[in-house]
Amino acid sequence: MKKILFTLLICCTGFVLSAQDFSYKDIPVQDGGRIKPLDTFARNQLLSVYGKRSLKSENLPAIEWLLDLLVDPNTGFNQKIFNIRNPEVVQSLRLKWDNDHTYSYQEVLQGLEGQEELLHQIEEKADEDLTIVEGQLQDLVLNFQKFANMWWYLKIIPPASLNSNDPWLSLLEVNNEQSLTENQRTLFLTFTEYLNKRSKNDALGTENSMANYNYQLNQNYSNVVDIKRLKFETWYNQANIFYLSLSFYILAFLFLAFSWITTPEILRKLSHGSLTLGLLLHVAGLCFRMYIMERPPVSTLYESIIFVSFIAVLCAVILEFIRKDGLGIFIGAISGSIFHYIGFRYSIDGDTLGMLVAVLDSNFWLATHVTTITIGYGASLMAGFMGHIYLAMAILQPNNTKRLKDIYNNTFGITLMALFFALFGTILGGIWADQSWGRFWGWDPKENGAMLICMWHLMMIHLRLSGLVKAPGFALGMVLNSIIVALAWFGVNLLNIGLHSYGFDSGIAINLGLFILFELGFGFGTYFWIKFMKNKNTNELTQIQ
Amino acid sequence: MKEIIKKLSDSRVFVCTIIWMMILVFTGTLAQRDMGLYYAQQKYFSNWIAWFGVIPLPGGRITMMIMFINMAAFLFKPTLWHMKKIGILIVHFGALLLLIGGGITALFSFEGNMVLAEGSRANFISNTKRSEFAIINTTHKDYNDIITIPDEILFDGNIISPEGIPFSIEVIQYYSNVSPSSRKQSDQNDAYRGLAKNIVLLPLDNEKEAEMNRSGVLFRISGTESESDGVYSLFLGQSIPQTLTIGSESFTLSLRRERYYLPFFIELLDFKRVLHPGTNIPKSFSSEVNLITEEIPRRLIIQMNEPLRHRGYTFFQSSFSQSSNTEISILAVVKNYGRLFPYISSLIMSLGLLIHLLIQLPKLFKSKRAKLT
Repeated sequence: MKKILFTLLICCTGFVLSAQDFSYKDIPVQDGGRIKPLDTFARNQLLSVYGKRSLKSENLPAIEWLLDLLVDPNTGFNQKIFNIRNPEVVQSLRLKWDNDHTYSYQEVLQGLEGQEELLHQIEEKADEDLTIVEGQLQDLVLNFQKFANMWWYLKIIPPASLNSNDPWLSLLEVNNEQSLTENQRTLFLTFTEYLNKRSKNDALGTENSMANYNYQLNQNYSNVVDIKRLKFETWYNQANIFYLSLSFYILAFLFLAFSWITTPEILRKLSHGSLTLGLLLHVAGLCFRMYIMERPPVSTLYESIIFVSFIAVLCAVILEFIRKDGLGIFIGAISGSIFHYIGFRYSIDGDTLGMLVAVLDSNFWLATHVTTITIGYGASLMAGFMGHIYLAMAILQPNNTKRLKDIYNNTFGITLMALFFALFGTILGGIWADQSWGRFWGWDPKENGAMLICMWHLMMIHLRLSGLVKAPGFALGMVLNSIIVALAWFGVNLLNIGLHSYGFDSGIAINLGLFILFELGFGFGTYFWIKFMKNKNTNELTQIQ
Repeated sequence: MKEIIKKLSDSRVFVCTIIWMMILVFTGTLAQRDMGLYYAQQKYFSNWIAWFGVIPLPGGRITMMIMFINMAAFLFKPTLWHMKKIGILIVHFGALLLLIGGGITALFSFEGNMVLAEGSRANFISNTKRSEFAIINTTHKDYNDIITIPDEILFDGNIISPEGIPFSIEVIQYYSNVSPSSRKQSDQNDAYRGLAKNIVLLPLDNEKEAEMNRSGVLFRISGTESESDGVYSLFLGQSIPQTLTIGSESFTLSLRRERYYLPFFIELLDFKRVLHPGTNIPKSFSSEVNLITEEIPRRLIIQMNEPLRHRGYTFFQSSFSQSSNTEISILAVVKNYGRLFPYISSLIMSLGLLIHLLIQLPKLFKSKRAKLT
């Protein structure tokens, strides 16, 4: 089913794209270990200095910014693109702190002049000894250097060897034209011709030179570049699919909210449709990424967030299909939106389509272990969400016992599924570890985290079995389980040890702490409230008797 | 009998052990930050007793043992043997197998590594976490007699006099981690011989990663009735070995990683590291090797996710080091008799859970339409 959908999607978009002309956005660049369109390169460059994927002050997309800079550096050097958020850093650069706190290359260059000693001192220090200002200053210098050396990284001339593993040549490296092959020279000249026409605003000329560029790529470099894939990626960059899916999730929530006020059934159906549509777009986004990178859906922390979000909404859509009472939509819309939001926060960190280190570069294990364990995370969080709903409902509608029992049963069902995926995923991970490192289990933090999730599920299931825990207790257990999942998922990276430590971010620690506090507060608060109300009721009953 | 089984298989026992196990895993994982993965594992998981300060509490092994007994007793419960509960039965059976496999691995598996420079060969595995004291009799031209003393016996004050060796060794002090530095003039003593004259071993705390420790030993040789009697020192990775000549016999003494000899040789022909083009992100590591059994080589490639398995040993591409003139490949070597258990038990458990899910889920998601009001 998934495969059919996948091919269908690719075919549709491929059809649309093949009709589109090759443009300057699709020019192949070798960067970060793969061939990507110039558009992606520009976005990542701008993101790392400016913090956004387009230049907001001039309303300029990244690609236009990059090419303008190439054509007319003097204007570009005065564009305010260095985003400095700390007034102390601005002061130490002898600049003026203003409201949009962005500064140009020229300004930063002047600011850095004569500060060599300070910068050297910062460089000598170990990372953990740096103060916040020093750390930010260091980051700024790194960004500045990256910007200043950008043309070294812009590798647009394919290697003479036509071997896809060989490094390409950057714009600065081709200055010595004598060493180029005939094909490389023509390609390079076509590019400079394009820049020339562009600086003269010659629309027809630029179009011609790009057609020429495309022709040469097809003719001479068809085995190192896949133009269709490049065009596709450019299109994917612009489509912002996950923003679209998010809007449908929000729309679903709005419809649902109105359905509570007025005519329920039709609005609920609309809402369900909107959620499903969002889910389809969501899946499409995942598939597109798989197609671009030629790898399974989850391989980085960012992708795990997007994927967990997908699993959560998928569970919710199915739940809604079974229950038809709006509960699934409620859960799906909220969890989908939250995860999308977290995902967007993560994507600001840099290229979300990066290459993988050697041990991860195995499609089979990434596809099986990582995907299964991520489904396990997603399902566990869904069970946690249901736990919240149960506790809330038990307070809001304590007398609706049938409905409460329903929710309890659903929660238990999702827990069983979560256990299945978490356990299976953990064991698959062990088998992968046995295959690559020679031991099934090494007590690595990430492994332990996954095991904690499994053990927590097992504990809850057996507590329920032995009658030690009733419905509210089970719901509380599932709420607390969300904490375990969050710790295993993000918290492990804070330990900074073991084979799985990637994607460290100090911001995570605070957010994680807040999340844990909230869950503890909500879980125990509602749980004891329910207990308290129950006791009061029974006391009143006995008094009456 | 029935009563005993009922007591042993009580699910509350399981709940208690799993809660305790979670606490162990949680503290053990946090402890890794301060004490390193290996020592935390030794302290909390691979131990019968875990010491929390001065309080002895059950360690990972006892906990899992109780879990095992609990589950094993559970299988004898007559109420379990129903078609309706077949899924549960299968899951528990699989979990038992997983624990058995874990036990076998914990008790009998062997781990080490093999360090090979390009062009060199080796027929032994080094245990990166343990050291041994080797006395090599180099008198004969055609062969060496080697006697090794494991680091467990190298405790302070122990006097060791191995058979066939014309001297005895008294361990003055054994250090699990040292930093060798030059001895001060004022600290000289006539008793010092060899390296000990110029080098003093300064004890250090254990490194977080156990394999980074450099062990060292200070010992006295006596019974040679010659100038060779005196105090010596050795440390791991010493570049000039300590030699001794006693009468007509000559010996080399060294402190080295504990070795485990294999019935075959491995020769490194070429080590390759491929990067993602234009970056420093490694794409793959691979070692081209010859597996030499009775002088007959067979060519093989060992790379990430594609280990070499031979006679119960598994060789994995683990690490490498590059210097100006040579490349060194480090292979991790494992012998594990419990290897297959996780494979089999995971299949069984997944099957059981799947069956149970298929039986249970329709009940749990019965469509009951209750409208939100």
